[in-house]
Amino acid sequence: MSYLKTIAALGLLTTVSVGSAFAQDLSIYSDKTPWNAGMTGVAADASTASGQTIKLQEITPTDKYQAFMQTSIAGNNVPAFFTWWNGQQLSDVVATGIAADLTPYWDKAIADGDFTAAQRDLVSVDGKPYGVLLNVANWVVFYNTAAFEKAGIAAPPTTWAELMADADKLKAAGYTPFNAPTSGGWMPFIWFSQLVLGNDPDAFVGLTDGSVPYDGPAVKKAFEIWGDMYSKGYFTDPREQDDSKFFANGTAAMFLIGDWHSGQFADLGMKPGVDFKTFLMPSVDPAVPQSVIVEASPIVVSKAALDANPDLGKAVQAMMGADVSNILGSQSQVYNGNLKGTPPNDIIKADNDLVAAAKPRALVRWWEAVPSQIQGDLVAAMGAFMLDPTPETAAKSMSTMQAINADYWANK
Amino acid sequence: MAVDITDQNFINGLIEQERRAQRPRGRWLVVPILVLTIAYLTPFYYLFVTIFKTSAEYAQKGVLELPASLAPFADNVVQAWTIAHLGQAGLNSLSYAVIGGAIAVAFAAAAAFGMTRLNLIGANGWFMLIFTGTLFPFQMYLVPLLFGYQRLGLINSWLGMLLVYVAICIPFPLLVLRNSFSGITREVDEAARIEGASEWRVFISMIVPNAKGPLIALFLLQFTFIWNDLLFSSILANGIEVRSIMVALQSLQGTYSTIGPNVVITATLISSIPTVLLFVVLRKYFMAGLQLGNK
Amino acid sequence: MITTASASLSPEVLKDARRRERRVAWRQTRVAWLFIAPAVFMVSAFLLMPVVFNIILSFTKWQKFTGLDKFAGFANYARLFNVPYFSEALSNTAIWVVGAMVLPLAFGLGLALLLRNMPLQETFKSLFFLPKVLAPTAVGAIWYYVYAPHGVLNSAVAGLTGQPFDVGWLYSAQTVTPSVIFTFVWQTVGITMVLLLLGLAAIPRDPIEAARVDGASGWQIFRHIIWPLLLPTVLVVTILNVAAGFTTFDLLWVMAGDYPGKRTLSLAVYMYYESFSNGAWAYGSAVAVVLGAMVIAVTAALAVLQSRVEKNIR
Repeated sequence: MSYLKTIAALGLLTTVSVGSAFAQDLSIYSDKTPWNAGMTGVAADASTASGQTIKLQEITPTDKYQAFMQTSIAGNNVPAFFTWWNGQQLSDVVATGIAADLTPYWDKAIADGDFTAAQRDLVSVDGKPYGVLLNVANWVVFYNTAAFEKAGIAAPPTTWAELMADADKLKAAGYTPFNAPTSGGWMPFIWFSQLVLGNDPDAFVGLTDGSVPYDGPAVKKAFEIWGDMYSKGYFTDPREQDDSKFFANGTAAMFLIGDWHSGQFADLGMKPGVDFKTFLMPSVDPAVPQSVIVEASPIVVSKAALDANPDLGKAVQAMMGADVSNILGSQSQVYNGNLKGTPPNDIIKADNDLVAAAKPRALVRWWEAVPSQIQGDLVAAMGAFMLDPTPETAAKSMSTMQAINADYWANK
Repeated sequence: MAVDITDQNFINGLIEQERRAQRPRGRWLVVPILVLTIAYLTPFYYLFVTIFKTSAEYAQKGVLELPASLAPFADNVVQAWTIAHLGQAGLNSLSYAVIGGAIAVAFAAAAAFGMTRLNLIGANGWFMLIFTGTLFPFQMYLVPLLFGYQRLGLINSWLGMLLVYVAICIPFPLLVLRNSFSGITREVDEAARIEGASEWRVFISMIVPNAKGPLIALFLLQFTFIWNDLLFSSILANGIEVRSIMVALQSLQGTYSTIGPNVVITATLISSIPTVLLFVVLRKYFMAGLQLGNK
Repeated sequence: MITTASASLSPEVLKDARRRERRVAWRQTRVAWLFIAPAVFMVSAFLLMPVVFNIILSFTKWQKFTGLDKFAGFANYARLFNVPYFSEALSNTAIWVVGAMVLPLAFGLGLALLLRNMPLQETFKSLFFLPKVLAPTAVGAIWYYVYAPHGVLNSAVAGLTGQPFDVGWLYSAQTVTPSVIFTFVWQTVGITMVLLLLGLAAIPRDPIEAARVDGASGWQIFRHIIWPLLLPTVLVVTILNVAAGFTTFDLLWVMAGDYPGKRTLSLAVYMYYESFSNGAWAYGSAVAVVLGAMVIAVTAALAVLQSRVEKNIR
């Protein structure tokens, strides 16, 4: 009977597909589409070093990428390489046991003088490194030099009062002071965390470990300042989904973002160091010492893939070399901190000098520090405020965030 | 109340009433219907002016303005086609929809035959078991399917997608075919059986030809459902090689900086061609399919 | 039948006949099993087993990445009440259900009554039906630009009034749900209308004409003759639309992707974000179970109502 044959054929097909699907996926997965050129170069370099074909696979936007990686890890079907975040996000992945311990590769890289032990700590969990550094960035304020000139601002601000005064001048000159997008499912946390940090760095840290509530005085103050800035018309339309548009087309004069963004502005025709420069975001409260947010993103390596295919070790080692650093720098203006590599542009060099001179307190981004299970839910509440920056929405966002936060830490 | 049938007013009233009943009513309604229809069709108008605009033209002109020329359409198609890999995705969805829809209707037909034409003990129980499959919202399948697929290696695979589409498309056709098969007279298959035909023969050459209309209508419905699916493919198979056309279309949104709405809208049009074409050509069966669902 | 026959037959013969009958039945049943096997297997393996697993999962511990973990009792269900997002998603779903139940029906019925005696009825039917053939993803992509800040709707209003007009339809809590529901209505009203026209066509003309001759008003005719006879069809349409309202996903996913509060726009969307973005599999499963329970309860109630109404008419 032919339908019996159909069932038999279907069963056979299933078995075949189960067998073949366990072949490892030798790809680098990434959500960093703006760095496409550099990442493609990394994949090519890793392929040459290991003799394997390593392809680049991109999934965007970020929240969808996270979803994809989580399902892959949960289903024990992890790609060989994937870009991730350090801090709490990395700890979560390491806790599942899928990440390869990269100690031997880091030992060699440090011995070769490519990286320092301090850089290793950026991607370490409990003292062991679990990632190759892909990007080390300072969070700075980009500013449009032509706009500053037109508004009559001689030097970038060094205090909060100066920053606000400059914002007024820019506003008077016809600019929107700050570009503040909500896009990609993550950007709303930028100003929220910056304003908490600028008043109380300890509260900024405490928000991410459950010790400081999201409806306490530190957060209330941040929302007040934020709302005040919105009422003065300091921020761009949060509905715009192209995150660089208003800065690149000259509508907005400043943009608080990681300095890896300089490559995107360069792609859009702005010359780094000429059309735009950077300064460190001053603390809101003058009594609070200068701080800077440091972002480090790792490429995580699958333990299963590395165990099954030792040649991939050569790819890992290659990713830590100066060549890959320079590919990322020249192709996508991203700097991974390699000491033998050259910082890709004047902006990143200048930022490193700024940080070296100011000796600010370096802090992990809120995004990396917050428990990943509640990360997206909290960002949603911040974004809700940006679209409707009223005291009522602020109050609602705060109580929502605190309910989620309290529930998480109570059931931890 | 007494009525004076000689009263001229009363007779005039009757005549008037009769005339009103005779007159084709609702002529004046043409106007509001036309207005409504125009508002209703505005999104389509927007679609057809947008696919002929370049990204720069779209940004400068009003969204409802006519395009400068028809030429940009070709470039929009090329962009949509290459950026979203619409060719691959279209082929994937076509194969899921044709093969999956056909297998599902075939399985449902076989099951309906077994339940209505054969003396199956507990037929109602078996029917209820399968019918249960239509009750739950898809959200209840997603997490377990994802974990199961990951464990079996069916994740991100063509076969995995086909299997889930087949399963989802069985219960409704079964419900319909059970009704239409029981409507066919018993004599048809009894006669065949007396002549020594196997049950398989009875099914293939007696029952199936008698239910051709519903079978085609059901296939069309399942084809449309699979072609239009976003949810299952986005979770179980979003790799470029296996993803459905709707996932490909959706991936175009979110690339705001590189392409304009004109490309997204063009992709929308491309991804709608097969179902619209089927609808235009086989409208009769679509409408018949509706009546099936109505029972 | 057998009891009357048994009086004249000996027990042995009877037992034998019964056994033979049962043997024939079993033989047919075995053949029938082969016919139903593929469908039963596919539905059990890919639909029913996942549902069972989903229910089990909803009672396990909330764990990122790992999925099935320790038993957690009702902890995930308790969390539904601790987290404000669930109640937001629930109330938005309620709006969806009511909107999906009432609006397509109201507009569809109006259109069906208007078009009933129209020339070109078939053309109008096809035109209004067309959006239903399009995928929700495609419809959402078009309407995303209709509602965009510089999109079709704002431009049209600005053009008609001569005033600048900028409403962020898809970017505010007050307008996003009604806007997407309107798109849903745009897509659904055609099929609703066609189904109602089928129902109307089945209503005999004589009583309507008779009532008209008796001087009944249009409303009276509708209320007392058309509506009761149309009710079964109305209920079928309602069941379809209510189920769609409960599980609405594609349109919201495509149209409200930029709205920061998108995760609470419906329970289906909320479930998706909790499970697939936050990695809270077990909690997401609990949301799915609640959604499933509501869908089944409401659909069952409507189905019972529908069968009662149908029985009354016959």
